[in-house]
Amino acid sequence: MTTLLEVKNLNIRNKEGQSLVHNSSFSLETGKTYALIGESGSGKTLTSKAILDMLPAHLQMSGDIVLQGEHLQQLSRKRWRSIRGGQIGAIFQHPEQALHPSIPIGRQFVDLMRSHLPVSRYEAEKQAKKMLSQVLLKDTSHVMSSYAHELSGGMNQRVMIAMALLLKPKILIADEPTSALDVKTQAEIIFLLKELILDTEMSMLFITHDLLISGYLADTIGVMREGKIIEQGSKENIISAPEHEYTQELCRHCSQRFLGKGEIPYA
Amino acid sequence: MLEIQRLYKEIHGRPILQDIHFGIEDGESLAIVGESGSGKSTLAQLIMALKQPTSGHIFFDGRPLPSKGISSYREWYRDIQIVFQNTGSTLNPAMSLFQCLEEPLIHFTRYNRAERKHKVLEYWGKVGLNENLLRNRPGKLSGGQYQRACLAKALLTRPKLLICDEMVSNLDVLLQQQMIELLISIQKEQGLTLLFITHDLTLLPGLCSNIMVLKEGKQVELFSTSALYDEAERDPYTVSLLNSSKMFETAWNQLT
Amino acid sequence: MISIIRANKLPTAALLYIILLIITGLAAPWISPYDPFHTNHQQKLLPPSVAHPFGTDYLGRDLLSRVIHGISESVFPVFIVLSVVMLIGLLVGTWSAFLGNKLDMLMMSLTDIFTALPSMLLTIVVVGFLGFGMENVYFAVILSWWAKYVRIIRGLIHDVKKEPYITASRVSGAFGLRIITRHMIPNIMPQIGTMLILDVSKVILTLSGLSFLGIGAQPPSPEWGVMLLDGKNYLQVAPWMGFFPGFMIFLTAASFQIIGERLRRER
Repeated sequence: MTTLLEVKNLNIRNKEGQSLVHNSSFSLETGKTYALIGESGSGKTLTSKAILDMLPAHLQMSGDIVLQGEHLQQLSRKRWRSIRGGQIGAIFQHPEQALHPSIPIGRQFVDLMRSHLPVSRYEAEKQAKKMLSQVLLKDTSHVMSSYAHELSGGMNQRVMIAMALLLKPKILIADEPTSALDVKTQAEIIFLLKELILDTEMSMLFITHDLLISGYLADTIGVMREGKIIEQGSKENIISAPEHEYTQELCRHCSQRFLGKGEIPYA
Repeated sequence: MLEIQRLYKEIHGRPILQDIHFGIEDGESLAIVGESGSGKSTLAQLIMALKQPTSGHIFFDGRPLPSKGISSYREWYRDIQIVFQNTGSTLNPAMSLFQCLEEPLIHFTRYNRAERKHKVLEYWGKVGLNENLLRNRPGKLSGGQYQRACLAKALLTRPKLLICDEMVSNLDVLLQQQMIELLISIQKEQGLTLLFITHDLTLLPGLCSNIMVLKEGKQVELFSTSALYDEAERDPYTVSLLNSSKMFETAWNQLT
Repeated sequence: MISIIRANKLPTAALLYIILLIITGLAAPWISPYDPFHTNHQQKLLPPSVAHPFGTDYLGRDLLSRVIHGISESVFPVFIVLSVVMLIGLLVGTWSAFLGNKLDMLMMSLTDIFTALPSMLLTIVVVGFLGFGMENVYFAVILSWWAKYVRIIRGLIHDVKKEPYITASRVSGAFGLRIITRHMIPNIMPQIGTMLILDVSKVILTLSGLSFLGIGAQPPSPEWGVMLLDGKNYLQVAPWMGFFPGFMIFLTAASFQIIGERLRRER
């Protein structure tokens, strides 16, 4: 069990000097999933953006981000970007925003693959179709020739996952990928992610506000509040014996959601 | 109170809603549950007279859906109000929050300025928001505060029926819980009739007395919330919706 | 507030200059040291001095006084002309956005024709037809600028119409005109305002430019462009005659440009 990614003392500040993320440290092991939980504004999305070198220009960051021994912030922008494509994959909350609106899905796959690897169009298309079936999309030819707006939210999310995994990254960063989906589709996508992780031995940094999903998906959990990681540990420890008041409240809320079974407290 | 009869809606030749037929009694609360694409938002828009049905009828207290004339629309909106999903632009960003909330009072009541101010403050407080925020523009509010503001705006003219169209869907789980609790307390206090549209069944216990399941524009079944977990009685589709959260539930129970 | 000023030193300076200019222009009859039309052949072509900070021109008129009175010839009319253009744009653009397809398309074809014509050329042709003089120039400028605003405002209204808060305002009981005035226009004004400010500098240059060509303001008007025309003949002998009005045109146009650019970046 090796440490794949280590984030040490990450600090993100805005122009007025306010600290948006304060001294965050955590690590990601090979083949394990780390769930970073927090509400909107807790700094969890900024953390993921920092790792991807996608922070908005007006924010400053300090600290260490180490990927397999390489200090990412010390690299040239170009190098960081090639790592971003090849070794770190990412999926976000709104796939329609990440996918090009006027290029067919198939072309986007092919372009992506050929910008990183020396493959022929035919080979790239074959790989793309393979990925699409792996994310459980039926009728891959139809998807390949469609535009992003022609597909449903759930399908787009699967497409985005397929694209993120196309170059076989070691880490997948998933930033609230299911928050905009309905419960049924959400369950399907989460299930899919879990299966893919198990198959490929990939590590995942899963960012969410939902502790419940994390209980299913994660190995390690970190709870963020107002820019600080207030508690982190194995999911067993966090969920069965939460220490921080906020974590306890989250756990209470999750347990209550199953109260319904047979007991409807409705007047 | 609200009667939907044989409602059918087509958009660009594609049927979005087919043969929708149900009613809501005074003081009742009905949840409409469906996945994305089930047509539930279109149903909300039809009831709110923002779209016209292709065929079928909608009646409120015996009156038909308005299709012409400002006054018939105003009458309708005096009785039925709606809170939309939080997209950050359901309130006019160029007006102060006070002005946003004042708007329905100006059109639906004959209150003078002082009375309007009183009403706005009353409902602002009911949804648990700080008076100081009223001076600001909507853009300054957080997601949770924004939805509370929208709720206050929908309630302050005391409509008889409130439609909540995925009202909490864009909020964090804890905020969702708080909003639902707020809604329940207001419902009890004002005897509000509620139509709650959502994709998440787990929100419903405690909130709604009846549930209608919608799939691809068609009504699957309508049942009382107390019978939600009677899997033997329920349509397989409803059961599949319930089971969506089963895998999380199982994992959770193993850990606690 | 102070931090805004510190971050925007140049636009703030430009704004202060404009405010000063407007106040000076309004107070011209009281603060102007001399009568701008008073000729004095003993005092002609004097270089800048304490008595005549800007010097005198070939007719012995004090240039500072002429420049001050020129504000209401070269700058104020611009505000009026653009206000008319904006009004036309709002009325016609909004009306067009709510029209049915055929009438709207007719309006678009009309604006197409006007925007295709180069504005300077159109202005000169119109003035050629109507005769020289500032009033005709104002009319010609309005004629060449109205189409642009109609198009843009129509487009903005089209976009605003789709916003959720417009639907929400209907549900709150607002209809027709009230929605347009209370909900739509306030939300498009920022964009229109920025465009107007940037266009102020263009129109200042247009008006002064046409006067410089001799087809706008006529002597003895203290309009800056026509002063520049006078000064052209005395460049060797009394360069200050041309320098000051020219510099004022430049400074004023540039200031509006700076403010407009800064506002545009805000978007």
